Amino acid sequence: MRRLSVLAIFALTLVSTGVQAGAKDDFINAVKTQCKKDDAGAKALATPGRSGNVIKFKTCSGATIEIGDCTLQCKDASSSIGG
Amino acid sequence: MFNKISKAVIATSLVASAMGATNSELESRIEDLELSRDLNIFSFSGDLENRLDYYQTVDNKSSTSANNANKKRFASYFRMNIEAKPTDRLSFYGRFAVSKNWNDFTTRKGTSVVSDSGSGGRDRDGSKLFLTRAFINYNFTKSLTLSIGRLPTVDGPGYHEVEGTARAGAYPMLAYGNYLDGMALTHGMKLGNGRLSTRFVYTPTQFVDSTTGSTDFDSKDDDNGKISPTQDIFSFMVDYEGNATKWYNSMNLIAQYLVIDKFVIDSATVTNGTTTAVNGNVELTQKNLVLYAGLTGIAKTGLDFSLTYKTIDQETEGGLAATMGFYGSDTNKVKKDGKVILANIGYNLNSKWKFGAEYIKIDDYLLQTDNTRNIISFYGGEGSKGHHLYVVSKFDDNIKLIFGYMKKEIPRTYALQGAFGAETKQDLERVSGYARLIANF
Repeated sequence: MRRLSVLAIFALTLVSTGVQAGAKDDFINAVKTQCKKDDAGAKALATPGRSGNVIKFKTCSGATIEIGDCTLQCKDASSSIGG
Repeated sequence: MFNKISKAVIATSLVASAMGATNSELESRIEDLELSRDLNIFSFSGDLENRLDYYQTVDNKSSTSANNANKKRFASYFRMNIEAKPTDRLSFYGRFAVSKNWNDFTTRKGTSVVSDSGSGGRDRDGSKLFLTRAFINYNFTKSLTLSIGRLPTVDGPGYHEVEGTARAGAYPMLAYGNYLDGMALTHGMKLGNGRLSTRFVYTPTQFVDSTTGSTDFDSKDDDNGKISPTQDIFSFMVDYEGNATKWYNSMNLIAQYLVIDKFVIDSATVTNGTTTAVNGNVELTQKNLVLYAGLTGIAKTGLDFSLTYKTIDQETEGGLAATMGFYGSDTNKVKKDGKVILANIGYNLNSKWKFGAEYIKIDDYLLQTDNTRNIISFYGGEGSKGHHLYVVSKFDDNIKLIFGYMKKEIPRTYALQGAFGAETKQDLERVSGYARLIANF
């Protein structure tokens, strides 16, 4: 029973990491494109968790968002024809 | 120190237990979870606005005019957004929306005191659900995208500036006020510090003749002339979105040419839900050029500014009745041209507060519609001008309160629906004060 619980926690951890992979990639690409940071610099800003920068960027409802020394444009893809 | 050692021991024992499972067992379970995740391709978001509008109409020429009014209204707007990206090439965006006055139990349709405000959705009164957006983007290549469906044509720049959000629509707000269905081809490329999109959008409108006994193939006007079952609306856009530089936080430049070709505005007598007579129709043609420029965070301060400039080349022909042409009594071909200007300036005091002002001026005799949420048609109405002051308070990341004051001067009105027929000069002012509480989730 205990083994199953541990297994579930382990698997869920992997899955939750996977779920955010797309969002994290989007964030890193945005930082690299918009703030001219290198891969390492962008990854350093990609803090995880509910109050982390990836979620902040993904759910931002303002025009822009400040992440460290980087100003990112918030984008609503559903409001654009052609993405 | 003891805590750290305890945690290390527990973590080690947990990992050791996990390793007790076979690799194939782990792989199988993780595969199931991955499949479950990959099959769940939809994501949802939404917003809810509750607002209170005080509005007043004052006829400066007559204190006893029926136009004089002083009212307030509570209303709600709810939108649910759906997004799916089943493959790298294909994405889908949808939106369901409801907007309503609060508890409007007043008599409507002349028969019932219980309107759909209290029973809608459970009163067996049809299956209406408003779909305000439903389209796909399909990427032929990295730079070429086909969009088709109910497109996000409304609430474009600078609508979002008053709400302090990201861009909320594709067409500049003044370009066209209604939802459009259609298809578009967009070419995107990097340019300078941003992205340049050029797109062609085709959104044909249709004239569905519901006159008794008619079909779409023999739609006739009141003079028995044939009406084309479809009329073209098409648009060509150049749209540049620049990223932050040392001079600004964001920049958006748009040039759009939009043509409305022989759009039919019909007038008919309806008896018990059936059209029994066609009284007239107007064919409207407009060639619009819309230029929009918007900057945020100018000189790395909190200053935002945008300007929309629209020129309209308009031609109308026909009348809604014998003496009701489009803006006047002339039912022959009438040509008008003019411009619309909208300026917005705002200052973000910090991430919590924004103060702003807008000014609009619309030249005479031009059809300029407004279907945004304000209650006095601030962004529409021919031959009018007005100003708007607003304050945005973001007291939480996901909830904000907007207070505003609008005033519009309307110098003339028309016999039918305020837009058709004989003109009457007036000195009318419409004023609105509002409070909007908007939650994003």
